[in-house]
Amino acid sequence: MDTLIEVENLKKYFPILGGVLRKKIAEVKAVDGVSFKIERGETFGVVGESGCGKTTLGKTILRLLKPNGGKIFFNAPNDELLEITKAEEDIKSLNQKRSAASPARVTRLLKRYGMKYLSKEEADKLKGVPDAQLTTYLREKIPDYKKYDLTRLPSARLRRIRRHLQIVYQDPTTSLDPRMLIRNIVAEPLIAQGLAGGRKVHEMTLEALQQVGLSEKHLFRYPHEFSGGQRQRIAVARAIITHPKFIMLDEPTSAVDVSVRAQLLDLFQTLQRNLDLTYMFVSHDLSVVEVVSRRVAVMYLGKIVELSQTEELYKEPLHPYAHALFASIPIPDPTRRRERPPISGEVPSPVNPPSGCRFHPRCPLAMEICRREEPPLLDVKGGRDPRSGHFVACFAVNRPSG
Amino acid sequence: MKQENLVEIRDLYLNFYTYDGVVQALDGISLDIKRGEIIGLVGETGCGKSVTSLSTLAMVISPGNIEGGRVELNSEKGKVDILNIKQSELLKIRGREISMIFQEPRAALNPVYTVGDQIAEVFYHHRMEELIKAAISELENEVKRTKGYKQSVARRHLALLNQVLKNPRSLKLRFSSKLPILRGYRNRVKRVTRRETVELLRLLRIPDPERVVDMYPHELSGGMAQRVVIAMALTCNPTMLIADEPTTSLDVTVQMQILHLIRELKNKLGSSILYVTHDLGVVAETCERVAVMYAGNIVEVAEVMPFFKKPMHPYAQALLQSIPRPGQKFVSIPGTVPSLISPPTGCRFHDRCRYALEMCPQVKPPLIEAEEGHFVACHLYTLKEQYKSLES
Amino acid sequence: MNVQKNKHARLGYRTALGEIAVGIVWAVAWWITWIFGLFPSLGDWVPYVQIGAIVAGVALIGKGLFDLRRAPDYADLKKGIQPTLKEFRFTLKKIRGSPLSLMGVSLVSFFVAIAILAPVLAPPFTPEGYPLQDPFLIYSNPQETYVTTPQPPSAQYPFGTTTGKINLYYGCIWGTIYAFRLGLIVIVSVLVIGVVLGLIAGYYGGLIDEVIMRFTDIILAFPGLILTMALIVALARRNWSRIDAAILGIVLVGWPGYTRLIRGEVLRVKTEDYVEASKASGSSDLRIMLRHVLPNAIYPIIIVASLDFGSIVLFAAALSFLGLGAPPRYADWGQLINQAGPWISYGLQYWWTFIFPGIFITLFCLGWNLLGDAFRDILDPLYRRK
Repeated sequence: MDTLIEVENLKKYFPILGGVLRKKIAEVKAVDGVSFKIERGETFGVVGESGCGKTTLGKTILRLLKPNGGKIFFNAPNDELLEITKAEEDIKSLNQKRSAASPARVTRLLKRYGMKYLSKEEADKLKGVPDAQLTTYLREKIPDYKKYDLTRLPSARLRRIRRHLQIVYQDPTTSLDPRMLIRNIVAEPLIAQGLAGGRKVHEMTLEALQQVGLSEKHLFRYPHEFSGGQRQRIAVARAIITHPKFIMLDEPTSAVDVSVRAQLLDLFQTLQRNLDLTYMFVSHDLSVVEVVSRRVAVMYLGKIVELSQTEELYKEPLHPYAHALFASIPIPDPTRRRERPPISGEVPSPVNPPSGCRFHPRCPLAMEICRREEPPLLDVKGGRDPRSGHFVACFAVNRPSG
Repeated sequence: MKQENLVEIRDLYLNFYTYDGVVQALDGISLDIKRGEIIGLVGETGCGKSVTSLSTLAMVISPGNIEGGRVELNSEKGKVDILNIKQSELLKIRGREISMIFQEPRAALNPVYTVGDQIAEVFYHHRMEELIKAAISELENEVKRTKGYKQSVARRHLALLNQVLKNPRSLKLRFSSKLPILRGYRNRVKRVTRRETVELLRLLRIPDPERVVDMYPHELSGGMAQRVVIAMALTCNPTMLIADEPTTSLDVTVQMQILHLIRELKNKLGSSILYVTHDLGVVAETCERVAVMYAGNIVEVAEVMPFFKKPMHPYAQALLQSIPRPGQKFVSIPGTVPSLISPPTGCRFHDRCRYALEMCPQVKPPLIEAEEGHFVACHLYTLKEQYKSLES
Repeated sequence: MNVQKNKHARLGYRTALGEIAVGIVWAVAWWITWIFGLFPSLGDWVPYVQIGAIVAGVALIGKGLFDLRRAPDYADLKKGIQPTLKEFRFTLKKIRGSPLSLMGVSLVSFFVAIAILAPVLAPPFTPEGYPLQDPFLIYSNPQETYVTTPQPPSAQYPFGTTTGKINLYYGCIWGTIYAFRLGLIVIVSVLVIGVVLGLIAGYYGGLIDEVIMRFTDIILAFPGLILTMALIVALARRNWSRIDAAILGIVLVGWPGYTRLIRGEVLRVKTEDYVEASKASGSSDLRIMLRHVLPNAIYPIIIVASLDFGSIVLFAAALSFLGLGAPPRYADWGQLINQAGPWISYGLQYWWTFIFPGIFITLFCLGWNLLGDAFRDILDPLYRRK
């Protein structure tokens, strides 16, 4: 298992403008130094309440927002590989035209696609070599995957990478353009990126729709003719049509009914198996995240306060906020009613977060140090295996002596 | 212990006339809401729970139209059919005997008025007399205590307020209420109202109510705004409060606080609460009885403990099973909620029900009492009833 | 036989649609030459050539429709069009439901019909049968132009005449075409400028937005009528036709309003989820602007544009009445009223001189106004069904 996405100390602030000259008078620190890794094929859950920054985190990772600090690393299929395929096709078409692939032509091709990886002597040696050997040679030279730093990619490159980074929004009513036919909505990523044309677009659109459980007769209709659950499926079809590697699911089940929710979650899991997808599942609904995720991170006011395997976290949340959060889930079992609400007060505004540990004003375990310093995110299991560690950012848990 | 019924909904039929056809939203709903109980009304989107709560206050507007049925309220004045009374009577019931709160708190509050002003509006509308009387008694005390200028001012205000009670449209009043200095007597009432408002906010556990009273709705967080809305609903100590998904848009921790608050209020004030929601967890946490709706019909009514232990209707069972649990495969109800323009015949759940019998598409099952206090509308149980009566 | 079938089989629906398009363009082009009296110098069988060409165009349209029916992939086209047709039919039903919008639609259709049939209703020929050089210059027998007193309506002159024996009926009919031409040119220009600038300003924001907005502010600071009048006078010195100058003036005064309006809508649409979703799908800015933002932002603009159509024509009529629009004897309603100037003070004695053009102006504006209202009531895509 390898890392697909690595986030390092990511920060995203929104400026508040005020005064006569509209200068920046304050900042909403939506995401304030978040670091974690997502592995290929896993579902990474992020939970928290409104204002904790989880949606901002997801959109920033996808570079829909520009981060104010930190790095995002994405291990994507090398897009130069696409160029190899184009080179192959060019060579094949050259051969088909019966005119011999003159050395000059091959050199030109090599110049376009392969020269940057080949030294001049190697290139000279390769002239006149049969095509099959040529492209295998090129393929060996170019790595399959490349680690892209999304924060520093120029916009053209970023647009090309987007085919591997997709998003499904919370509200299916507003995430689909009401003036467009379903066919155009789902096919848009293909057309926008120039990945296919004509007949192929139609085929791929149909295939995407079938994978989410819809069919051809839904192609030529408008979004308002469908129910919420179906619209969400359409949004999923749009997300998978470019065969992405990573999909950010931003509260995809919050706007639909309980019974449809189960169908959608089932769909996500099936697609993950079939298409080898990696998910980041952001939600405020703890029970839903519990079912789909392998690891879960709990966020509070722009920082991760606890990160662990799902079962461990849900059985025994260590951070006081996480503990209170889990204790607040209404359980469909009247024998387990709670006597008191587990937490009092409300989430403070992210414009002026409390000093030190952000949770200290509401924390039952707050100590002197909590007001002064920010607790670091440490592995309570000693850091033996970072993949299965249980990370908590709390002095009371990590340093009970203070 | 049988409690008395506060509101009885009987055979309520409701249709919506739309461009695409007639939507048969409610198909003969019957429900009893007892005095002083919290009853949950559960169902998915489109099942009709929201329109049921609206019908209870006769607030359904076109293209919706109530085709038949009664909503009877057992008020002090006797039994009143809310669907069949004069507008003036209805206005006395709304807000005073039955109040309603909605899902989006910030949509229910007017953004250009402060919290205090909005709650005061409800006070003025329903409890004006009491407020004036309270102001009068205060003034009488003040007259006794003070001397000189203050006393004469107090005396003048007292006279004016008494005049308001006796003859609101007298010339003297109409004069004084318009002129700037002479208007002072109205501030007395305002002061009383403000006091009452602050007390109300304190009852709802809003921190620092003196400050909140002067805040605007956009300055409040979701939880606080919802508390303000509940405060507005409680100004007149209604005998019933209808809550239409009040916590759906709030965070989980805030939701827990509000649910506890609602339980606490019910205990303190003794009102009944009709809690409309789609979340069974909330029902388990808060309610004493629960009614399940599907596609315009009530399919099961029971007390909360027996319901969760042994749900009877196949839809209720499927609903409980479809709540995601870790380690379990997802169980979802096959099919989708039917269109109510051409609803399924007979039992509206028959095409998704795993126990569907021959008669289910043909005959609509009535709501029968399968066990004590546990009602269900399903042929599986109607048959059982018949067998039982055959045996005895 | 088989070969024949194959030949037809190759005509897909796209070819048929192309035929229809060519037919329309052909017919419209020849109709324009007929209306505006182009090619008069080629003799007096020219009108027949023109009419013949128009008929040929219509025939091509017919053939195109016929081929469309028989095209093998016609079913695909039908499926693709279905939802749009359904929406269209829904819109029509809504129009039928409201009497005011029905009136607006009928009025505007009435005027469109007059405009199309103008050469039939008021043939642009001299009484002797020679085609007119410029059908918009109302012709009178040169010997009779000295007759200054207006003549009341009669069989020969259905609406009467005004100063200089100007046939009011002819003037009103051809004035309709002039009004449409003026309105269309102005609206299209203003919309194009407004959309381009508004989209860029709204979508990109920042410095570009500020610059464009301040520029519109500057133009808005000028009083419209005065600016237009000044422009017309200034351009007349450079031998611009007064009509062209009037059009330019109206466009200049009108574009800032549309820019601001469109920018406002763009700002609203920009924040919608589907725009961001499109960005996440890798769309370029241009694609997002044209395919997502514009179609969703344009609805209020259509309403304003149709309301404006009437006021633009009214404005132009006002200019003509002041003597700054169309030249004398021109078929323009405002100009006709200008000609009626000296006769208004007689009260209703010479009523036909100003009542007839006045009715045309009023009904035209009213029709577009009602149409604009109708659009507003029926065009909001998300809430129509409620």
